[in-house]
Amino acid sequence: MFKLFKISGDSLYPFYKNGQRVLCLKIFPKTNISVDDTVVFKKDSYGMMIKRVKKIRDGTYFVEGTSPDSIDSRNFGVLDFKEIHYKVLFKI
Amino acid sequence: MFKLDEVKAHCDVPCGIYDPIVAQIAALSVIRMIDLMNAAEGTGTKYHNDMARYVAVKEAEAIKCKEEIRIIWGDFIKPPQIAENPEIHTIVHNIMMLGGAAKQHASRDKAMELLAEINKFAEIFWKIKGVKTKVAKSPYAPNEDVVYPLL
Repeated sequence: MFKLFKISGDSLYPFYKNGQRVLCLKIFPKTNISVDDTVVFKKDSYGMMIKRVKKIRDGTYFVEGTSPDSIDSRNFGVLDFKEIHYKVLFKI
Repeated sequence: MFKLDEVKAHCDVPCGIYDPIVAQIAALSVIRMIDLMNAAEGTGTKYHNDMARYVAVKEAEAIKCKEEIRIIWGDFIKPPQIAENPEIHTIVHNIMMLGGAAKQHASRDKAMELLAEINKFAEIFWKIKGVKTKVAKSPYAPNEDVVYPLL
């Protein structure tokens, strides 16, 4: 139900720095995901990633980092609900 | 109690290292090679050897201009920045065409246009990065105007 992750990279700086640990809640079918939530998801070629939800439209989620260089939905498109595995509860 | 897994908040690799200076220097090199070609004299072996080297370097540097700009444009520039700088596509297309012209011809005017368009691109790039710029002559031949970041 809960999982601890260590963030690698600075694409969410200043919200989350490289090496930051975060406690996350597993996503279940009824879990609510809102704009500005930080979510953990899996993208085949990129592995497990963490980004912020910027827009939600028609059940799809557009995620972005804060850095203009971030690899996110601007590169790989929107996420489906089923691709999102966790959402961040708080930093540790 | 909890297993610690790693999750990526990565940027493009290598993380965020983009800089149009490589393309700007390459454009200066194209101009420099044309200047050297125009200044070359003689008909002997040395002349042919020098000319072949100038042409080869001009070709390689023109390709570098196109490649470097294409990477920044494709990998770094994102839709929100395109919306704020709608002229960027035209500038990049001009660079691609002028880069091709720099290979086909030995026109200094065309090479200067290539440098000017790359400088425009650099100005937009640094604006996106929130870095002010200045225009200064390159401190080496061909001593032409280059947009530099104010760091």
